[in-house]
Parts: sequence; C-alpha cells; structure tokens
Amino acid sequence: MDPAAAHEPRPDDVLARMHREEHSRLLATLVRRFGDLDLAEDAASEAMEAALRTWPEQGVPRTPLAWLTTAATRAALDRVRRDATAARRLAVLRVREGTPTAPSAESGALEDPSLGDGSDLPDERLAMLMGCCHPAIAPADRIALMLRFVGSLTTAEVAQALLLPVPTLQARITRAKKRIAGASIPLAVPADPEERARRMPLVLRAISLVFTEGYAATSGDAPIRRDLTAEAIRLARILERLSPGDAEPAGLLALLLLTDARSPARTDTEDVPIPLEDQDRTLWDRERIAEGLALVERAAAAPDAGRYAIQAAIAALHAEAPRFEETDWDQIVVLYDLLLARGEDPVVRMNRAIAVGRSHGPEEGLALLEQLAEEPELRAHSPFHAAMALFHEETAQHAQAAEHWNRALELGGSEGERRFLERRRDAARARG
Amino acid sequence: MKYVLLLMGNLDDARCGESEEGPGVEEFIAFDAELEKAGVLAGGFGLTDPEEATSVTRADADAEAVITAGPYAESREFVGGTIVLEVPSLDEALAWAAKCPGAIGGRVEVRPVLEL
Repeated sequence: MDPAAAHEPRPDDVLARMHREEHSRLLATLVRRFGDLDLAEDAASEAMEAALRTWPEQGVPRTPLAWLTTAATRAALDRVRRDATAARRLAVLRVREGTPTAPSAESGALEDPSLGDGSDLPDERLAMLMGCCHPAIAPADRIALMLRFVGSLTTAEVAQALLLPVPTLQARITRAKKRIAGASIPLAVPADPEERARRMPLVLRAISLVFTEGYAATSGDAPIRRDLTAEAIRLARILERLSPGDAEPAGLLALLLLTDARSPARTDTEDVPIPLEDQDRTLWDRERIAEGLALVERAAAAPDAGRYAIQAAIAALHAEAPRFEETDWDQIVVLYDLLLARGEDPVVRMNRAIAVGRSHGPEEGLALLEQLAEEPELRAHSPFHAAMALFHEETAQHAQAAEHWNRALELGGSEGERRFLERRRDAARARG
Repeated sequence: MKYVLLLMGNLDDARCGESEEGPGVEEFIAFDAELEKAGVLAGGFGLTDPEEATSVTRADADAEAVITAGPYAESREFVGGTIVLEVPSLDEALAWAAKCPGAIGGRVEVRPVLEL
C-alpha cells in the first residue's frame, strides 16, 4: 500500500486507483471469507460508499485495503442479521469453514473483524481465478466470471467486449452465481496438488481466450478490444505473481506480452492489417519485449514448461529477429514439433508448415499445407487460406492464389482485414 | 451438504448384447462399503431393470391417470439407482462420483439435495 507520502493523498484519487486494482483484491478476500459472491459484491460496494463518506473528513487510512475489508465484513454481518436467507447460507459456510477444504478459515473471523494493519492480508485472487475455472462451471461462464470478479471491467464493459447484449451477460452471470451457490462449487485453490495441476490449464486457457478476443478484433469498437488485451495481461500478471516458480503462468504472461508488443505495427492508419514480414519493427514495444524475453528464459528452461512456455519461446524468436529475413525459422520448426508432441492440433500444424516454408522454401511449405486442406477446422479458418494464397504466389501460381485470397475474404473479418484480402486477391488476379 | 448421485444408464447400451461387460453388483456393494467407511454415505437405493417400470401420467388435476408399461418412452436414459452423500462441498461429491462404478460407460449426475 502507499507509504505516507509527502502530501496527503486525496480520497478520490486513492479510491479511483483502488477501484481498479484493489477492488478485485477486496472482492476476492470477501468471497473467501463469506463463500458467497452476491454477499461479497454488496459488502464491497457498501464499504466503498462508506469510504467515500468518511475519508474526506478523517483522511485516508494508512492501509486502505484493511479498512475496506473490515468495513465490508461489518456490512455483511449487518446484512446477515437482517436477512434470514443470508444467515442460512452463512450457517452452512461456518460448517465448511471448519473443514480442511477452507484453508483460509479463521474461526470467529466473521464475528471479530479486527485485522491488525492488514499489510499481511493474503492475495486471494488466485483462489478466485481457480474458482472461476472450476470444471463444474461452463467454459463460457468462466470468462464472464473472471472478468467480472477479478477483472477491472464493469458488467457493461465486459458485455461490450464479449459482443453480448448487457442483459444476456447479466443473466449468464446470475445463473452462474446461482449454480455456484446452489451446488456449493468451491471458489478456492484446490487443496489436492493433482487437482490444482489439472485446474491450472483451464485458468491459462480462459485468460488466453480473453486476450484472443481482444487481439483478433474481428468486429466491434477497437478501444474496447484493447481493454480486453490489457485485462488479459493484467490477469496473467496476477496469476504469475501468485504462482511463483510455475513455468506455465510465466509462459502465458510472456506470450501475451510478446504478442501485444507487436500491436503498434500490426495495422496501418486505415486498420488494414500488416503482415509480419512487412511490419515496421521499430514500432514494436521494446519494454514489453524485454519483459517477455526475461520470462521466457525462465519458463522455457523449467522442467514443468508446457504449451504456453513453448508458444512464448516461438514468439520470442520472432521478437529477437531484427528483420523478418533473420528469423530463426529452423528453431521455430523444432518448437512447433515440441508443441505437436503435446497434442495434435491442425492450427499448430498449419503454423509449422508455414515455418517450414520459410525455412526450406515455399514448395515444401505448400506441400505440407495441402496435406491439411481437408481438415474441417482449417477449411473455415481464414489464416489457412491466406497462407495457401501466399505460398501459391511465391511459387508463381497466381490464379490459385487469387482463389485462396477470395476464400479467405468469403470467411469474413473486420473491414480493414477485408480490404487487405481484396487488394491481395485483385493483385493476384491481375497476374494470374 | 447433501448431494445425490443419480446413476444414469442408457437403454441403447443395456440392450446391446447379453454379455455383462459393465460393472456388476459386487462392484457397487464394494463401493457402498467404501462410502460407509469414509463416513459419507447418507442414503440411496438401487433400482431393478427399467423393463420392470410402469409410467403414470395425468394431463391435469381433473384428468384420469394414464398408465403405460415400461419407462417413459421418449428418453433413452434411465435411472439405475441413487447414492446420497453428505460431504463438505461439490468437489468431494465429484471425486466420489468419479470412483463410482456407475460412471464407467454410464453417466453419474451429481445434484444438491433440496434442503427444506
């Protein structure tokens, strides 16, 4: 928390800053304490309101998070005393608090809300992230819950970002909360290390999906989508910080940072995408790259390195190449082989084929791509047709290239993407 | 918290051949004993062949009951039995369901018991 500064921090500033970062910590702590998302949310907002009322007069407390947690706990107790349903739920909770499955239970914590100076309040957001990705929660709901409870976006922002009408998203979250309460789905880090190891990939996947939603930006407002990539990176940071020594969270964070570092060069002023070979690498974010590379060095060498560490290593090879022509394609092919060894995937195979084409020549790349032409997943995958088109062009087969550019165009995309594909198709037709 | 494990079978599987490749009664008895020993068993019952079922339905409060032989014709799934568990959270119930012989080649539906 902020140490005493030369000037008194203004309550609004503190709360504004807190609302982004600390609100999710507050919420996570309250969810752990009460085991109830609704109660936690209501208590959190009551505490924030109390802060807005009292801090301007009494000054900002030395440890705002502890103050808010205490205030929220008191608010929750009041609510419970007034409301029989909440009391019943908490009675169930108190039974569970005594069992080994509630590791942060402090007996009597609900009745004695003094917390000392709160600087050693554990960061319960790992529990929230893991809890939101419990297998009993539907995959589509996991992302909505994560963004709502650990993310710093409002429900309206989450809805816009996921291209859902706000009432639809609200209904989804309400239903998910009901399931969690009704079936007593534990929002916690699994106590069993094997279960924890099984849960981590679900969390990683959910965060990476948030990033892809923002990065792909097939439609919708660009600024909202940039919020999503920022949110994904933020969540990946939290996960990495709270899983010290784990390779995959570090790998995911590295992958997101290295991918995001390229975004200033990805599109031109008209939102038309610029392929990797043509990007102005001086526009890449060097700070993000440095951070990503440092993480990859750790993660890729670790014994528990997995899919994300490998993908990060591939992204690192791109980031390190001063020019497209100097990319270490042979090493990239090796990494794709490692990735495939962990599980067949047509998109990964496609990317490997492209890397082989860059390393050994377009004929070989094209031959490998053609072997994948019947894959249902790739037939509807625009980048596959773009890759086919490129390699056909490079082997002077312009008519076929034009067909593939056209097939990619038919598969849709943002306005900028469509303009890019149209131009390439028309150019290929002119030569074919 | 109380959860019920609904042991679901599928009519299409049950009618495929006579050989009993699935788990037998002994496995279920052994599982019950395990649950008892762990102190989590809170009830349950096995059911006989769905062929021995009879369905009863009434269109509304004034209508006559219509009785038909066999289980509800539309669904291919049937309930083979139930197990009631008393455990701290869903995770424990899921862990037991995964160990249940009924999960092998079948489906175990885990639902919270309504506490009135």
